[in-house]
Amino acid sequence: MMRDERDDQVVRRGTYALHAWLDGDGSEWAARRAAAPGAREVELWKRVEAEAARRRSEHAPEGLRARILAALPAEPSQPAPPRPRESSRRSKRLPRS
Amino acid sequence: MGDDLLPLTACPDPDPDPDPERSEGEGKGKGGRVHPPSPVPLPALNSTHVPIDEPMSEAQPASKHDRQVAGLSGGPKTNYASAVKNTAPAEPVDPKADQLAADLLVIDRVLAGHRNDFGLLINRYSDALYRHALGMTGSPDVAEDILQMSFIKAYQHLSEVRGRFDAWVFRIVANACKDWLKNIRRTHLSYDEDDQASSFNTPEEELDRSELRTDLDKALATLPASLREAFIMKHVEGRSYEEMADLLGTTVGALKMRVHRAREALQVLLEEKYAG
Repeated sequence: MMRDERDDQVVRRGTYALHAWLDGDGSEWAARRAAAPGAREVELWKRVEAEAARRRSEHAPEGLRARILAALPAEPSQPAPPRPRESSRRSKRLPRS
Repeated sequence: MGDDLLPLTACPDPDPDPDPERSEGEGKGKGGRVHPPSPVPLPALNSTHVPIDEPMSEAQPASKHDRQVAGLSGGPKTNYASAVKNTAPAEPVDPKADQLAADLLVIDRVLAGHRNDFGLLINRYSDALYRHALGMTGSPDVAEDILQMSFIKAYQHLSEVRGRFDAWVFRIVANACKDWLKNIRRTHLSYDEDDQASSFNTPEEELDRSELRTDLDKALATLPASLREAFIMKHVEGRSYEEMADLLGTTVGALKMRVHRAREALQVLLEEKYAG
C-alpha cells in the first residue's frame, strides 16, 4: 500500500472517530487515539464545546415576555371556516339511464 | 427543548379568571379545534393545587377521533391510552404528548379571550428559541427582535396550530433567522460582550474565551445558513439528530452530513489559532 493511501486512511479514521465523539457515539479516548499526533483537533473541539456549553445556558432577556405581551394585537385571528369536503364540491352527476 | 421547559405552574397567571365553560369534559375550543381529552377538569391556571401538566391520572376517556386529531393514534401509547383503562398497569408516559396537550389547553384559553395566557407559551419556549436566534444571528438585539416578531406572528395565527406548538413556533423563528441572514449579508458578527455574563476567573482566561467567542461567531458567519443552523441546533442547543429531523422536516442522515460539513469548515478556520 502506498504511503499516501495509508495517510488517507489514517485521516479518515481520525475524522470518523472525531465526529463520533462529538456526536456522542464515541469516546474522547478513541478520538484522541485516532487523531493525528498531538490530537490538536480534539483540543480545539473541547474548547469550542466549552463555549457552546456557555451559550446553552443563555436565557432570553428579562422583560421580553412583558414586551411581547404589550405588543400583541387585541385578538388572535379566528380560524377560517372549514373547507367543504372534496366530495361535496364535486358536481354530482346522475347516472345515465 | 426538554431541559428548558418551565413547568406551566411555575409561571404566574396574569389572567386569573377561570373559564366556567371549560370546567368539565374538554371538547372544542372557540376555534373549533378538537383537543386531546383534558386530564382533569380544567383548573384555573394560577391554581397551585392542580398543575396543568401534572401526570394525567384522572383523564376522561379519549375517543379514537380525539387521539387522531392530537396526532397520537399512530405513535407510542401515551398516558391517554392508560387513562382509558384505569385498571391497567401504568404505561410509559410520553412527555411530548403531555406537552402537546398542555399547550393545546393554553392555546384554547388564549383563543377564548384569555390573551395573557399566551405568556405561558412565551415563558415556556422563549429561552430555547432565543438561543437559536442568537446562534443564527450572532446579535442579542436581533435575536430579541426576531423572537418578538415571531411570537406576535404566532399569536396572530394561533388558530392555525395543528399538532405541536413548539415545532410550529420553532419553524417561525428558524425561517425569520434565515430571512434575516439572507437580507443582511454580513461578513462577520460579534457578540456585544458587555451583555455576556462572565464566569471565568483570570483575566488571561477571560481574554482567551472572549477571543474564541468572537472568532467562533466570525467562523459561523461564513457558513451557509443550513450548515450553521444544523451546527447551532446540535452543539449550542444540544438537540439530538432525531429531534432536529423532527423540527426541520428532514432526515437524520442529511442533518449528520450538515453538522459534519459545518465542523470541518469551522475546524479549518479555527485550527491554526486554537488547536494545540
